Amino acid sequence: MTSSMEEDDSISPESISLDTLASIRSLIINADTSDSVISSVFDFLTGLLSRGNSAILHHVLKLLSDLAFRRKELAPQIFDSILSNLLRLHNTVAEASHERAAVESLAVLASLSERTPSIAAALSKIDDEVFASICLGAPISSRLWLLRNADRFNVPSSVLFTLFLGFSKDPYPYIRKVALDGLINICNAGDFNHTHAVEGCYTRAVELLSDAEDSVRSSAVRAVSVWGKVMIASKEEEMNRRDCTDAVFLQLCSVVRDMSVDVRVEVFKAFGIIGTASESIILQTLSKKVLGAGKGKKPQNLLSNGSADVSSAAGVYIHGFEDEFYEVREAAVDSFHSLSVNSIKFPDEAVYLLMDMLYDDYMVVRLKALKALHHIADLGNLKIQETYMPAFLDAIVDTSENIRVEARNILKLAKLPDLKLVNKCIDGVLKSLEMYPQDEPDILSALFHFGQNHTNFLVSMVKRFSEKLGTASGSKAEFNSRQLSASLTLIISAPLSNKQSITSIPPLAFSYSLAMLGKFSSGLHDMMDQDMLLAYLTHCAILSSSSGTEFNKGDVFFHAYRDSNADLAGNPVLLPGKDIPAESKYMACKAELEIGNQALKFVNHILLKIKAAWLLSQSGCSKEALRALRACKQELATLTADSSISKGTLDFICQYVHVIELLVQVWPHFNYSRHISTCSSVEVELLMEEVEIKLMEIRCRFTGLSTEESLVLELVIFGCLLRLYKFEICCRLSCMEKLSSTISQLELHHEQQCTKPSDFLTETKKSLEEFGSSDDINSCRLLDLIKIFKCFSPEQFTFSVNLQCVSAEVEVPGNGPYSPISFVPGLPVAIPCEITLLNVPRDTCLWLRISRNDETCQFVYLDPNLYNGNGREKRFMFTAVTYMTPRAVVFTLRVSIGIECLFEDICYRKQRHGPKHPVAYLCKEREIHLSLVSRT
Amino acid sequence: MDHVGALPYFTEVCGYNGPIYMSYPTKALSPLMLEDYRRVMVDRRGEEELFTTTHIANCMKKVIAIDLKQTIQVDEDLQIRAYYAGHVLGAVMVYAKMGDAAIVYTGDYNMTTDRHLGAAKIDRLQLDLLISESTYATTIRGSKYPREREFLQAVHKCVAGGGKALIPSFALGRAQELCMLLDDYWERMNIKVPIYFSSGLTIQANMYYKMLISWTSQNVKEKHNTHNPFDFKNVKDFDRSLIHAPGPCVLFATPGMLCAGFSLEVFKHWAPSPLNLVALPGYSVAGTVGHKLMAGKPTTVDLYNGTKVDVRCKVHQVAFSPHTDAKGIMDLTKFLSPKNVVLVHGEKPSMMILKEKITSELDIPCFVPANGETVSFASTTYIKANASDMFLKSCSNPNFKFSNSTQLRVTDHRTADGVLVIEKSKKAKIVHQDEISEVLHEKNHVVSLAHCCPVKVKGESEDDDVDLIKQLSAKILKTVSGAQIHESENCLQVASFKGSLCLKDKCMHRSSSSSSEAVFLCCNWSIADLELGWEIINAIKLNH
Repeated sequence: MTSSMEEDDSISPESISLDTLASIRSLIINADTSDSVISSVFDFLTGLLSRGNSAILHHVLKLLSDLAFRRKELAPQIFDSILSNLLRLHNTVAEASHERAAVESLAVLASLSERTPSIAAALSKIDDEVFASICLGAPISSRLWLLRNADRFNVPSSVLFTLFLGFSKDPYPYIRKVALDGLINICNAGDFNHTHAVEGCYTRAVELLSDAEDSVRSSAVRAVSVWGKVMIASKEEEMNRRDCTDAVFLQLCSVVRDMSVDVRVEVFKAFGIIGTASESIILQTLSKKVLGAGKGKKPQNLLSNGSADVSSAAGVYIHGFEDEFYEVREAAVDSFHSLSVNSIKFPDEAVYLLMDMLYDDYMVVRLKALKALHHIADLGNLKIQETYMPAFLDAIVDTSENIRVEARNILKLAKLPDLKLVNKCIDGVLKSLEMYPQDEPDILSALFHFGQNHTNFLVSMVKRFSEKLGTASGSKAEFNSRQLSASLTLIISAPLSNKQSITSIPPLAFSYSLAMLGKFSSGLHDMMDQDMLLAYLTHCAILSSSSGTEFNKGDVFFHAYRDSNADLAGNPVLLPGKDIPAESKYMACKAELEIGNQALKFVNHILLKIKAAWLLSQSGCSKEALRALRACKQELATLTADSSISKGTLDFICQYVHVIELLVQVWPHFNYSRHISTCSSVEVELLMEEVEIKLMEIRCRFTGLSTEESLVLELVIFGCLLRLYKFEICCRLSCMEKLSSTISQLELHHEQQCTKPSDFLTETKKSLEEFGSSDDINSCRLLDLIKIFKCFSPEQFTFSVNLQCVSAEVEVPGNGPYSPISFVPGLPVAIPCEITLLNVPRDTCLWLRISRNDETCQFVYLDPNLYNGNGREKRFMFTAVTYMTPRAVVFTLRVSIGIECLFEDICYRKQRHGPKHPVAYLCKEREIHLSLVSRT
Repeated sequence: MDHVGALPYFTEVCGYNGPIYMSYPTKALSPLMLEDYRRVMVDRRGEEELFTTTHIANCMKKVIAIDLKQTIQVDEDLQIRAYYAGHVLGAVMVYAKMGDAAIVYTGDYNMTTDRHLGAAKIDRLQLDLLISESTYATTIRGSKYPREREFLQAVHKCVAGGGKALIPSFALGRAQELCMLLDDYWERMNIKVPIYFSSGLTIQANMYYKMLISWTSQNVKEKHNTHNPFDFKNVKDFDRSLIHAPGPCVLFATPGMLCAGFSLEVFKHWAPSPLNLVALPGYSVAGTVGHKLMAGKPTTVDLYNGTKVDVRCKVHQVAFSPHTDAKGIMDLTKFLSPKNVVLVHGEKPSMMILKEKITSELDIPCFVPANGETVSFASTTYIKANASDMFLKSCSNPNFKFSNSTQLRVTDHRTADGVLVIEKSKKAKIVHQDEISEVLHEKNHVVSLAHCCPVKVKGESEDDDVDLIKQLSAKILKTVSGAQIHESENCLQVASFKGSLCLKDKCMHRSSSSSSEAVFLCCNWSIADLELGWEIINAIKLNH
């Protein structure tokens, strides 16, 4: 074969038969053909390139491209030889047959360079001149290919522009279309904005709007829109630009009644691209009758063809909306949307037209219409009339979820004029709730907004609700029904927009809502987080039951709500996700993780309530807050520890609630005025003392505190701040000391735990540094700090299993009022105590405190050896000796076990015996009855 | 009826023998319509029979059915093609080409879609004449949606109040349209009130509609995939006994206009109740009960046989029609841009208004001929010509020219280069403009300018022509920037401008013979370099 090949070399190209070429092809596609054969095939074919006539060339090129794809290593060589042949052809006389070969070579070169990146750069050897001349010389069929593929070659856009613009004059419609498409691409590429060129191109496109061929017209419409847009942008002056926009818009209007669907679709898309026009024109597009203002008025046309006057815009959108083809209607609605976005004034008629589209048979069209309406509603221009109510209600119960969502979005913004419509609307929503229970959260949210917008119909809504309740109260299951929760959301939102309306809402509504907190908060997460909602509901419940006397207090809350939702209240739909507080998100995900775990869920709820109560107290409703906290305590008491939550944790929360409760009691004294009567000052002093003792207790009595430590320390700091603020000079020094030491402890804690210090901590630290050693402490600054205090963030509760409560029990076996221990006055007496210790860590100092009614007391040190063993629980006997035996027949002593708080630096007791630090007690005092030894 | 009503009479009685073309749906529905018409005319009104059932059958045998966009060569010269027209099922516009003249004739057409039919659709054609109907030559309708809604609400209100709604309509077209509308609405609003069709004819027509889905609108076609929209869910057959049955209902009864027959009979029974409703779709001929109802609010109406009926029921005029409105006619005319327009089928005054509008706004001559009047138009004529090879060759390659005077314009000169040559007794021929002189055996004439201007010589060396030329060329170079000057012994050349020293005493191009001793430069240049030439001469003169 190889030899025959070489012989072939000498034969003239004319004598090559197709058979020969076919056998060469089989050699090429056979993967086993040896390299030497392939190389001679390559030589032979390249030889033919320069000599062959056009008929042969076609096949040779095909074979060469096959060869290049099968033998990648030959690709660069093949590329080079085809390229040089192409350039040679270009330089010799142009001949029709050669032109065809040139185009085919180009095609092969383009695909070769695309497959082999290494030779891609070589493609630039085909410069603009070569490309243009091939383009101009090529026969029609190849010309189409060339124009379509022009962007595969590195031809500068100016050359392409010239070519495309020229070919837009071609007698063949397909060439004209491709040329227009090319022009559109150049425009979209965006690097061509020479004024003359832009206008020339636009004018040419306008001319082609009246082409006889449908496809050319539709491309022309696109070209008019994109080049028109560039032309508009190139206008310097505002007036000029507006005129120009109008001119382009009207130009497009003139083809809106084209018989071709494609053209009409393109026209409406083009309106969307232009995006705006004068108001008079937009008005005209909504009416088929030529409006008086527009009659005969032509925009000062900058371009030679002033054929389009305002009357050509007549009824453009009416035609678009009633078009036979949904593609056109969809495009029309879409562009209508963009027009409404860009036009500040958008007439009501437009809205009615859009509403008609809600009846459309096609889902896409309805959806687009709803989206546009939603946007218009957003701008505050939507008035739903009775006529359109059915369409709207249909959308709410549509089978498509997207449509339902959009419809509800509109509902959130809707303002209905009369009760009948409101009722109809609510009915519709309730119906959709029945049909699509999965939509419940969003429906609740929609109703909440809806209720807020229609407070003037509140009374009737309440009536409805009461009826529902009346029918539902029979069975428990019914009570939870979706209908009820939906009616509830509708009602409870009213006070947000109209405070006075609270009087017409039965307190029952709020209490029921509290029961559905979880459900509601998942629906309303875009407006407020769960604790906010809780606070709101409790607040409302109290207000509504207290017949409105506490409105002034209420104000505080509503202001707080408004402040925190300042940008939400006005524009609820524009809520992006960022408005959801991180805290509630965290809470939600946590709650989700542990779903099914009742106790934990419950605790989380309680935490929320605590927080809500704190917020309430801050807004001046301390009574309510206290009530809520007490309720929390009770709820906690009913809980039992299980796998998910340790007893220690529950105890801890209990203690914590107690501290918060105390602080809530203290708070009003601080909030109103600094100078208050002595009596309350004493009360505050006592309360503060209690707070501090409680905090100390918590710190000593709990082991395994992790993040909770920071909770307590923050409270300590808070307590110090309160003290500093309130109690003048006497205790300032010690307070400052405590403050700084606690702060450093807390910082250390955060460092160890790798947690982020709270704002409260950092702020306090900063201020403390500011105060420095100066005696004058800025009380305003203190108050600010106090107000920063956020109670807690849920992350601070880790619910670790390690969290354990240190506790103890003291029992004197056999002792009782009727079986007292005998004593001799003046002589010590031994008290046999049975002591049970739970979770007591090593290295603690435990004291047995024995006290008498007259407040004299004695501490007995418990030898650590007695209890320093392994195991959680230790039980041992201990005989305490007391010297406090008065001259009496009978008396009682009280014993309890305390733990010395070693971290408290202040040594307040300078006794020889007894603890040097404050003591926190681990158990209730146990009474011991003693009686005089009877000498019998 | 106003479409095929007279056809059997025309063919069978008058004796027309030519071919009859109909669209498939028309061919299917026409016999039904004709038969119904005949029965109404003869049986009910006792008028003289214009044609018989056999006439109809014979007539229909002659009909040739055509499809949309199917081109039919009727005879050597006449070629016709049908385009979709909306209006009723099977309505078409006809494009006819007679020799070189092309016209479009449209009967009734609709430019907006309705529930079941699409809008008219036609290609952009080169037309000499458009003949258009103009039933609504001055009406401009608003959006169809509010009109549909009004109708639905009127009917709904009536049946919700326990009334009966009568819709007198012809069997074809409006009945299906309104029924489709009602059926959809019934579904949507979940209304259970029955809808009745009075005659078997309408039911039969519905059957044809079901088969002829391809002639309906996109909407119906697509719905058809899941459910045939002409299978009305809520529609039942009406029985005469139901006229007095209690409870609400909707009834479609033939014929329309309440001119005779069953619809009139029902009307007689229902009109006295204020609960009931009569909805009149479309147009009513003067003299019919329908027309009387629409004209005003009569309390009593004379029926044809002299009995009077109290009219206490509500009357609603259905405001949509399958005819295009004035804007539609304008839109079609604008789209087709024919050379002439003729308006037919309308009322004279409004047609005159429309004519005025077409003439002024679209700048197309428009005619409104009366019956029997003849209008003639100049039509396009095409000449067949052979093209020369050179012209063909130049045509195959693009030849753009860009002009950039005020704005960028592109022109393609390939056809402009052609010259049509018609010689006596020879076939017309198109040649390339470069060939023209050859073909006509004429020489090319070239316009050139010549001027002999005096040149003053500075130097004394008189013989030194070369020096002079050099001096001149330096001068020229100074003023005419970028000029490429070729010098030779005693002449110089810039582009087509040639200047040589004039040796003649009296040169015909010399304007003045003032200074005899001066040397003259005789110049000539072609028209293409008109400005350049004068510039050079000015330069030479300036440097005296």
